Amino acid sequence: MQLTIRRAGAGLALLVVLLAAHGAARAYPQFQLSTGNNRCSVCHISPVGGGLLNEYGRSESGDTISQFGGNGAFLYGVYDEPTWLKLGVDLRGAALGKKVNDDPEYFLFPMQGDTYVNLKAGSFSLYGVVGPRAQVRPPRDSVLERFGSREYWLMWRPKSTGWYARAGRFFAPFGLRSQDHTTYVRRYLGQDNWNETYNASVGNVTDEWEAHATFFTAVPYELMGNGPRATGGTVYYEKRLADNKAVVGAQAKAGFADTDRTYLIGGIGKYYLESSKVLLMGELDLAAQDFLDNNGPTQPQLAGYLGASYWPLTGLLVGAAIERYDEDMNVNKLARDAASLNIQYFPLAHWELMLTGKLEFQGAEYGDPGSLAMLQLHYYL
Amino acid sequence: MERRHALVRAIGALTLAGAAAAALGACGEDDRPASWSYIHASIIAPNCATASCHTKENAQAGVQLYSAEAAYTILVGRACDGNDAPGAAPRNYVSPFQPERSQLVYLLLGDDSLGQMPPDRPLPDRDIDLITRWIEEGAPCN
Repeated sequence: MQLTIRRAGAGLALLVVLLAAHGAARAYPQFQLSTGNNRCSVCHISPVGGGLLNEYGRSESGDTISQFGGNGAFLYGVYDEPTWLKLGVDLRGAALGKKVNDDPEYFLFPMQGDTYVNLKAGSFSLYGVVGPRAQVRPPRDSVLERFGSREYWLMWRPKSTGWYARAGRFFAPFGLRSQDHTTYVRRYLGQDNWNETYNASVGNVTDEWEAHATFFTAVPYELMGNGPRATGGTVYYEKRLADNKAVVGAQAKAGFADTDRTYLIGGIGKYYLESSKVLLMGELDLAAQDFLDNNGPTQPQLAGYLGASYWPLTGLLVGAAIERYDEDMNVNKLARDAASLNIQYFPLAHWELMLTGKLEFQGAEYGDPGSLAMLQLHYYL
Repeated sequence: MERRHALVRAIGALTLAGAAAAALGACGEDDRPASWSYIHASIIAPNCATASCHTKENAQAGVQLYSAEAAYTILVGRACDGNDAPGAAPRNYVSPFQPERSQLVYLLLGDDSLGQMPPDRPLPDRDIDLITRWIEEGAPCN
C-alpha cells in the first residue's frame, strides 16, 4: 500500500514536471541554527547551501524538519544512487492573489520544475540544474522554449569542510540567501531569479566560520534571464558564536557596468533562542551607485531585512518579516517597505505547504498598501 | 523569566536596528537628471528588465528593456542615434514632449484601461515624475 502511494506520488511528480516552470530553489536560511545544524553545507552539496541536498540533508528533511517524518532519500530510497551520483527534482506550484491598485488578480501557475545532477570524481564534482523559467502570467513562449540552466559549476573540494574552489554559473555567496527571490535584499541586490552570474569563487568553510571570495561577470549571452550587467567581486565572512546559537556576517561587493558602478557593504545576523524556538534574522546593506559620464549624482541606497521564525511544533514554521529598499536615500519618498507573514508546513519528507501574506508600501505612504497572498505546494523527489 | 527577558531584549535590539535603518531614508528633493541613461540604469533596468518580464529572451508583450539602446528604440520608436522624426513609437509608448499622449505614463500610473506596470510593484511616484519630466523634455537619448 505504502509503495503504491509512493509510486503515485512519483508519477504525479513526473507529470507535474512536464507542466512545471521554474522558480526559486534555494536554501531555507531559517534552518541554520534552529535545526541544530550550524552551516548550510551540512545539508546541501553546494558549499554555501541551496539546491540539491546531500544524504544527511535528505535524512534531516524527514527526521528533523517534518511532522510525521518519512524517508527523504531520492525516490524514497527505491533507487540507491551510486556514491558518484546524486539526483534530485524540485516541483512547486502556486496559487496567487494580489491587489496593487483596486482590482484584485488571481493566478494559478507552475512555479518550479528543476532537475538536479551532481557527478563526483575524487575531489571534483560537476553540478547542474535544468528547468523551465516560471511565468506567473500566460507565457509568450512554450515550456520547451523556456528551458534553461541557471546553475552549473565545477568544484574542487577535498573534504566537506576546508578549502574549496568553484567555477561556473551560480549566485555569488552573499547575504542571508533566502529562498524567496522577492525579498528586497535579493531582488534589488542582483539576486533575483535567473540573475546568477558567471563566477570563479574560493572559500574556506569550517564549523566555526566560513569565508568566500568571488569574482563575477555578467552572463555573456542574452539568454534565459540575462541577469546583472556588471562585472566585479564579492567577499563574505560568517562567524558562528554562542555555542552555535548566533551567526554574524560581513560582506562587500563591487560591480562595474557600462553605465554605472555599485559599491556595497553590509552584514547579516542570526540569533536562535532555543528555549523559545525562535530564530531572529537580519540583513542590512548600504550601497552607492555611481553613474558614469556625469549622468547623475551618486545614489546612496539601503536594503534591509528583519525577520523572526518560530517553530511551534515539529513540521510547522511561522515567520514574519519587515523589509525596506531605498533606491536613493537623497530623495524623499523613494523607499519601499514590506511586511510579510509566512506559514510553512512540512507534513512528511518530500512535501511542503507554504502560505505567504505580504503588504507592500510605496514611497513611505502606509495608507494604501499593495497586498499579496500566495499558497505554494512544494514536492521534491 | 530570564529566557523571556532575553527574547524581549533581542527583539528590542533588532527593532531598534530596523528603526535606525528606516530612519536612514533621508529627506531630500529630487535633483536627479531626466536623462535616458540615468533613467534606464537606475529605474528601468532594476524594475522592468527582470527575468520573467522584459529581458531580451523573455520580452513580455514584445517589449525588451534590458539594454538602454533597445529599450529606447521600443519605447520612443527610433534608434538612439537615429535622426528620424520622433513620435512614431510602437503603440505610442512615448510621445516626446507629450506625456499626456504617452502610453508609458498611463501604464506606470496604473490607468484602469491599460493596467499597471510593473504589475506587482508600482514605481514610486518620484520615479514616475522623473520619467514624465524626461518625456516633457523631448525624451532624448542622452
